[in-house]
Amino acid sequence: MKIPSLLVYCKSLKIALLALAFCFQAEKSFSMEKLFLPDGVSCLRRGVLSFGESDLAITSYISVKQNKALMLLKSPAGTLAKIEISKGGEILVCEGGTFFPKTFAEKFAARDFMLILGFTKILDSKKTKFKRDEFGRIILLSECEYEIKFSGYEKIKELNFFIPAKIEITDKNYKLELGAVHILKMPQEK
Amino acid sequence: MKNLILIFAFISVSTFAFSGEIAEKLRKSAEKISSVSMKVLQTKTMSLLDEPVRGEALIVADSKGRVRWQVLSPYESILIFDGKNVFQFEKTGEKWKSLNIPFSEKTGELVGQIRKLVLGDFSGALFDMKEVGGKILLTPKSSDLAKFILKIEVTPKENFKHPLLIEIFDADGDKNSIEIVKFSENPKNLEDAFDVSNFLKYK
Repeated sequence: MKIPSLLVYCKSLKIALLALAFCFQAEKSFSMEKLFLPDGVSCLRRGVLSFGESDLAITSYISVKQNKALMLLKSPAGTLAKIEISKGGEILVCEGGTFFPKTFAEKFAARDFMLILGFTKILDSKKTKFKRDEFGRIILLSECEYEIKFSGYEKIKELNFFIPAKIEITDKNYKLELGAVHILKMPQEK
Repeated sequence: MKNLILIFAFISVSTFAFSGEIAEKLRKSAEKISSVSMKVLQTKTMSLLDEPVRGEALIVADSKGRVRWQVLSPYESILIFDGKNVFQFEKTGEKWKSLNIPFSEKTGELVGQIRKLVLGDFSGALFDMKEVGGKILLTPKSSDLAKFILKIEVTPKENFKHPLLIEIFDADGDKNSIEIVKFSENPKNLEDAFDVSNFLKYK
């Protein structure tokens, strides 16, 4: 084999390996490494929870510290749910609020939060479908009548981290639209 | 709903005729006021977060019991009570969305009752009031309201012209503070502030 051909071959091999690595990464990407915010970050997302003919404005406050993600879901009628998930995907705390029973917090809020963070193990893998964009980022996750759409990925420069600007969750009982993330605290701000 | 309770509660402390010295001074200042427009700084302190969440809002209210509460940051939201109905609008992306808020009847009842307070009618008053350490302290009378709010503290401005700081202590341990940074009495052309027709098309 001539040297230039070898170079071309090596280059092609490198590209192929990189592509393979990317594919592997892409398949693995819907895991906590990509969606679990870095330690020390806190943020909020404002959204609308629709059920029946009603809409409820909600605010989700998320804080990641000591390898745990904490979420507080608030509505004008008080706290709906308080959830704490470990970086390994284990639910450590799940509480309801005055008008939102713990069973609802477990069945709906904790599930949604787990999936938003990328822990898909709670879904039936045989029935679950994924769609990704050209960068390998998850844009759709569905299981039967349950669906999550992620769109408008934006880069948080300080963290070199991409995060979806909009998350739409559709369940047979409700629809939850979460808007852009507002970062409240960066890791270095101590 | 808590926002409505709050705004009416603190307007009402300016118009109540109850015996406290601070409240009496605020009431006298409020006699000439038929409407107000305020710029406020909102601070939410939660056990979950190490740092408080800060934002800005505009509040407009009048003696007819109408209220507009517009959150400017960190997200955008508008709540309007026109004296009968409560409307809420949320900005999602570049668009506004009109919400069909639940419990609207209950909210209307609550607002109607608080409106009585604004007009000096104490029947069915929601809060017990007393003055402690230069502040007005409001505690819910009913156990239902106490499920939301533990207490409200109102600190008056030095000249007792209007409240300066309103602190709402939620029953779940969180705290909301509202600091009035700009207070305009009887502003002109307020009608548009309560007009929901432009927003109702955003379904």
